[in-house]
Amino acid sequence: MKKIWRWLAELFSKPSTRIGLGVLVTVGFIAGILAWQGFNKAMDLTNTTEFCVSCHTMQGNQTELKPTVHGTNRSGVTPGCPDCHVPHDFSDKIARKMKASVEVWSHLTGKIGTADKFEAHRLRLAQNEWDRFKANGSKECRTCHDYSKMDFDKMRPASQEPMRGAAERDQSCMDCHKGIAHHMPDMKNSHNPAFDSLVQAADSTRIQDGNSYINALPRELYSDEALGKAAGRIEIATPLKVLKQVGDAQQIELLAWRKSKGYGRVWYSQFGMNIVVATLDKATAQDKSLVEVLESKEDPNTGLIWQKVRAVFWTKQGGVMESADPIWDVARNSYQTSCSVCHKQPDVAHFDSNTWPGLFSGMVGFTNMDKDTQALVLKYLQNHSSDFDKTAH
Amino acid sequence: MQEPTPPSRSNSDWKKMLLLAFIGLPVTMAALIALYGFVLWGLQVMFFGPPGA
Ligand code: HEC
Ligand code: HEC
Ligand code: HEC
Ligand code: HEC
Repeated sequence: MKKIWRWLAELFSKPSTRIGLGVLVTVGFIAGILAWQGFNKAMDLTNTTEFCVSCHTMQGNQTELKPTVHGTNRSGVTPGCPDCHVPHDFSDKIARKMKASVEVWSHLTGKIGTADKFEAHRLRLAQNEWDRFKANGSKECRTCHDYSKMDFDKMRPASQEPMRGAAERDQSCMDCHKGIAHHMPDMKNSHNPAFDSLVQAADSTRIQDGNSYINALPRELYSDEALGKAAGRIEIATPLKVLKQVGDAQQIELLAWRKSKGYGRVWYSQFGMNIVVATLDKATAQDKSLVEVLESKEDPNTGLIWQKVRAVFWTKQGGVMESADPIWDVARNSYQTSCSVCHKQPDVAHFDSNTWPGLFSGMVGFTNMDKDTQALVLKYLQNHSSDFDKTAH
Repeated sequence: MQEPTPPSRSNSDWKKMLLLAFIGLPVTMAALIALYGFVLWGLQVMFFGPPGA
């Protein structure tokens, strides 16, 4: 160690005896130019799409990009990976590249070496990018797309309103345009933590046989006490009556409506309203010994006959609440955060319960709600629609 | 009175210079920039958050 130091010190301090000062400086100068050139070249080379996709994990992202507007379009102007992913500012760029070197490392060492592993990490990786775009206001997008140069009148009608608002607020593109370049990571199976609070609330419910409760979470229905024969699925916030509790099981009674058309598998909470409370298996729905029809009525709007039905099922013990309010609180929260991004959240009571499902399914693709949350929010909207809120209009 | 320098000395001077100019210093530069990048990234992860506008 000491020897190396000595050698280095001598290298720098001891004057050269044979080489002229001019030659020394000239060679140093040339070496400097070459080094700088080489450095820039390396920065540029590692800043090409070709370099990014030379690693096969990234080829999937490229394949996904191809058919989007940023892969091929009528004008032929398309961003390469670094246009969207590498900061343009020197320091941030260097920092990003060092981070990327670690990513290359996890590829080589096999942490994210295969397509399956990539999918498993995808949500996390996408979240990193979203955070970055959020922090810099989607700066990379805006080197190409400038709010101040957008002609909103030329946009498609559906774009005008939200884009005008976005420009006014100088909003980050990624608030609304997630998944613009690659497939959205799979969020449908991710878990909404707010549901845990419902489980807790349900756990503290004191259940008495013969009383009416609200189902706290979507779950399985069974036709036998041993919970062996699946019968269907009961939705969140469905009213039910607990008949008796036996060990881990509880017997419940469902009162609902169904259309006397097809198998009658889908049960609704109210006459004439498409608010789903349970979906039964085909055999169960047809089983006359299980399902009792109480009355039949024609819906004047559709001409369909609706039947009031009653059935007794088994579920796992617990999982019910006395009031639906905690459920609606969770739903209202999700609705407010997810649906007010692009426009003022619509007044819930502005539509009726049969209009909401169509509107909702047209919009929900814009949000990142998981499947259970979607069902919950739709239910909230229907149950607070103009059919129920008589103060509206 | 100048000390006579052995001929091998001048040869090693050239070698050292070229080594320094074309390998030693460029490698040092790359290493320092990389270090800078890592430090910045570390700071971003721990303190600054992702780079802002
Ligand atoms: C290299 C410049 C460039 C960058 C960077 C870029 N885009 Fe684009 N983008 C384009 C071009 C060009 C088009 C128009 C293609 C056409 O219609 O011919 C476009 C189209 C779009 C569209 C219209 C889609 C449609 O259906 O018509 C959206 C939305 C969009 N970009 C969002 C983004 C977002 C969000 C980012 C940042 C992640 C981004 N762009 C980054 C060049 C870029
Ligand atoms: C408030 C949410 C919001 C924000 C923020 C936002 N957009 Fe949009 N943008 C939309 C919606 C909604 C559409 C219509 C999309 C559709 O119909 O598929 C749209 C459409 C577009 C279009 C297509 C225009 C056309 O010709 O129809 C482009 C391009 C675009 N956005 C780019 C951007 C860029 C770039 C940014 C960031 C600088 C941005 N948007 C920020 C909501 C937003
Ligand atoms: C138009 C801008 C744009 C271009 C071009 C682009 N990306 Fe992306 N990329 C994004 C955005 C935005 C995200 C965040 C996730 C999302 O919204 O889909 C992302 C996310 C990613 C992720 C994280 C995991 C994931 O799939 O969500 C990887 C990896 C990635 N991009 C690689 C690439 C590669 C490789 C290329 C070049 C072939 C590329 N990107 C080109 C905008 C872009
Ligand atoms: C990415 C932006 C975006 C998000 C997020 C979004 N919407 Fe929309 N919404 C729009 C646009 C754009 C329109 C108008 C264009 C159209 O009718 O297709 C619209 C229209 C509507 C309308 C129709 C209003 C009417 O009078 O016909 C309703 C209702 C609605 N949205 C509800 C929702 C709900 C509920 C959510 C949450 C699940 C939601 N939106 C989330 C962009 C969005």
